[in-house]
Amino acid sequence: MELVIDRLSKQYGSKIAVDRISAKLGKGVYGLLGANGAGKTTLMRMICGILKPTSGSVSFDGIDSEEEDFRAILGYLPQDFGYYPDFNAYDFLFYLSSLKAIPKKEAKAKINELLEVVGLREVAKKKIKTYSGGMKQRLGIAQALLNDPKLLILDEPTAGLDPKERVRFRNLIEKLGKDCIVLLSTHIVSDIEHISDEVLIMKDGSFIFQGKWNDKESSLEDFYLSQFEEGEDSE
Amino acid sequence: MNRFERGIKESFSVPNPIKKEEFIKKFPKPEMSLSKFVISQIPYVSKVTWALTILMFISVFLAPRILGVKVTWFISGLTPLMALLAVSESSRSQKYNMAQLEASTRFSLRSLLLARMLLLGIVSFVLIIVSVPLGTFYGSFRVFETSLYVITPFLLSASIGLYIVRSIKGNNGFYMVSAISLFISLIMFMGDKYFGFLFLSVGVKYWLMLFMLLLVLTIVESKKLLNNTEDMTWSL
Repeated sequence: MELVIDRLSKQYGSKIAVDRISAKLGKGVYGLLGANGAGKTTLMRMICGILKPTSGSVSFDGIDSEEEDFRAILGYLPQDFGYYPDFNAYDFLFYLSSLKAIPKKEAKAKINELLEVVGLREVAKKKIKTYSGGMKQRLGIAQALLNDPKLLILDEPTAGLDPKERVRFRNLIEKLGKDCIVLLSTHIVSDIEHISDEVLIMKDGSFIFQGKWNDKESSLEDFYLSQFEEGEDSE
Repeated sequence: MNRFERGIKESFSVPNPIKKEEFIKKFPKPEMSLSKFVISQIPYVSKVTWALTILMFISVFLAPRILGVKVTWFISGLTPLMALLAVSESSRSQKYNMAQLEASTRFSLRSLLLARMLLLGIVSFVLIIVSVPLGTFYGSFRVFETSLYVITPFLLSASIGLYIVRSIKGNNGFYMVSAISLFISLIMFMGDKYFGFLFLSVGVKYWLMLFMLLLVLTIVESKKLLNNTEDMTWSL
């Protein structure tokens, strides 16, 4: 199981959002850190195959990100997502199951299991518009897991979760990371410190750190903050 | 279960499955054809769209009894509204910020848009197929002219609508499409009273030219919308 990112770039006019990023990711949890505008979301969208790169490629076990087979093994939680106004949690998950080509019977069992996991079983028949931000986020996590993904891309998954939910989520991700590749972006350094096997730090469209954070001298948070300070000094 | 089977069951306990999850994951994923996928999307077309479509069919069948020879104007005023329904259904993902999630699924946003366009396209086609004979029988025009007067406003509304939802994102685009479709519809409804000159037999060749042009434009705009799904996923 290997995700290969090969010299991936995205350019909008004169602005380079992602600059020739290369990486090989195996099973495990990868934490992607970076300030707003560092290129995290653009990178994740390109990995998911929903945004065409200017150059470079992404493949999973040799399957290109533009292929249907790639999307069949993908679970994606965008930073910001909506829902159709008449949907409840069941409708939402059944709808996405149909787009993921999961047969109805199998989908029903999986949906009940996931609603239990994310703690929404009791409110599954209520309209999503009545949900809190944290509940919507948990529903988003559930839809990403519908097809038992081998590659799970989570853009700011802990946003809107309360501390208790955050701990539950960390445990879930830790478990998932044993069987698949999980790439999650966040602003919260402690989320990554707790669950990530490897850390990827992005700045101005490039990785400035990639690997295990074993530095006993300084904390990941101090290093991360120092990158901001450097940016401010140079401006 | 016979006594031997019962005996075996009582003597040996069933071991817990080992690596059950991994084993199940190895099963090949079921294939789904595009036609099956299109059918699977019927319940997910907006209920309002289906309700309004049924209402249109009912009014097409009732119109000749109420309007008599003026039925052609009514039907030609109704088809731009059908086009409005089809176009707004195609832009739903963008309107409700679902495009990113849909784009990352196995069937992708492109297939989903194609499925929705096909479903509403088929329904519109059936409405037109039903309307033309009714309009010809009860109205004052021949089949060819009636067909042109019924289909051309549909294509005009569809081509402009598809262009707008592709160019103007969010609710603004939707409101603009609605306003234009209603305007076209209104002109056709009032065709008999104020725009009769448009429907004189001498103008048929211009209607035919307009029909051909709009048919091409509608096909081009549909293709552009299907090839433009990447833009639809940008919500920020």
